[in-house]
Amino acid sequence: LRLLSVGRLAAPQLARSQAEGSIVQGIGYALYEGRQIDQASGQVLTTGLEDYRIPGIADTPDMDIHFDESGFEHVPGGAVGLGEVATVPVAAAIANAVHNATGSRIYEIPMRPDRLLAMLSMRIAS
Amino acid sequence: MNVLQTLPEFCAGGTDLSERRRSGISRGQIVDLIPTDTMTGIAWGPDGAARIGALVTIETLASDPRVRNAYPGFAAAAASLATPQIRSVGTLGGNLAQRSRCGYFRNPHLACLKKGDRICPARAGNHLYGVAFDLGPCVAPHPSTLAAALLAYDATVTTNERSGLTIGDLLGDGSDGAVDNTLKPGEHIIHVDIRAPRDGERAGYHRVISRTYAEWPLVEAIVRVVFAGQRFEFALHNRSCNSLPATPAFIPEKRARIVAERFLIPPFGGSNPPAQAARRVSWCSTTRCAPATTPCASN
Repeated sequence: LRLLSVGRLAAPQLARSQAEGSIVQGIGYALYEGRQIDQASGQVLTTGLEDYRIPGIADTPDMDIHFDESGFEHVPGGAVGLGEVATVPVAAAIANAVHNATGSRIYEIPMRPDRLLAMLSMRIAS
Repeated sequence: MNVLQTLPEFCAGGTDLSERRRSGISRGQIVDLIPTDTMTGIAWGPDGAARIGALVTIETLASDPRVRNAYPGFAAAAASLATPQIRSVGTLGGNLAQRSRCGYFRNPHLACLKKGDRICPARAGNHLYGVAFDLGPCVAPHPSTLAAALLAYDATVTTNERSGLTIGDLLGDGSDGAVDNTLKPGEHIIHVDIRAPRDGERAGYHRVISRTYAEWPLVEAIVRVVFAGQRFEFALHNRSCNSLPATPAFIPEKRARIVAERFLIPPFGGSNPPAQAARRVSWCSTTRCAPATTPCASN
């Protein structure tokens, strides 16, 4: 469920589509995307989508999107852009879900399995 | 230092090769494979054993009803790897002979053991996906999922120059960091033989990835259990822990049980281990083999 406050919608269908795409991109940002470099040379090691991973269609959730069109009456046209606005909170939402599931907070993205395991083993150790 | 590969290479499905051509690390001649009937088909022996051609696609291995019945762990491994597009053109031989997926090897600007250098730069550098630190000079695991599966099935490989190669013979033990396999220049895989399934044989394959589909595994394991002889075979190919060989290998039974219990099947033990194990193996959605004929009764 996503509630977005972005002002008046000029094109509701496009806005919904944009928000859905933003959520998928936000999942990539939260869970998968990470550029790996060779520290000695600066060469990028993740040069394809095989290594620089983004979500597949099966990794996307059911999305229920609602818009609150008020709050931007002072802006000409009463609206603002919504792409980045909709992308950024996804990582925080998933980190909250991790906290809800495990009781621990993860502060690094992407939230890779090795980072989750490290976080959980630190908690077990302490 | 030879950062680029200039030896001739065979092209099967080309899913690995085309990427290395585009990046520029493969610069030698490309040699087409002549698709003979042996190389493109699956032949079944009278005892129910399969001879699978090197050019049979991964999609065929995953979907062929007779392969799925006889070797369910192998078929499940084939179905789990890569994407539908890759499976439809990638081949059995190409999967076994594919090159390392290490980012250092794949980068045309960096030298590594597999490109003629004397050290593995990932060892001291970025080795997020490197796992084979203690048992060989190159830290990257061998990428072939089918090799791990075929190891569990005791398969043998025939090339145009050698026959009866085990998966260990084909891939080596990882002690030579310069190579991904023992195929010599001009040598290519013709077919793979898998013996007939035994009565009472079951198998399961499990792959841990962080996406739903289409990712190199963090860990993958195949287990093949033959209840008749209470034999327990286990092959593990692991990308998440240290101290593992670069090539797929059986792991000692004690450790195999620990891994099996944690990842595949809850603990063995109790009064009737085969029945218990059967129940638990089915828990990880494994399938009972359906031998074409009655195979050898005991082993």
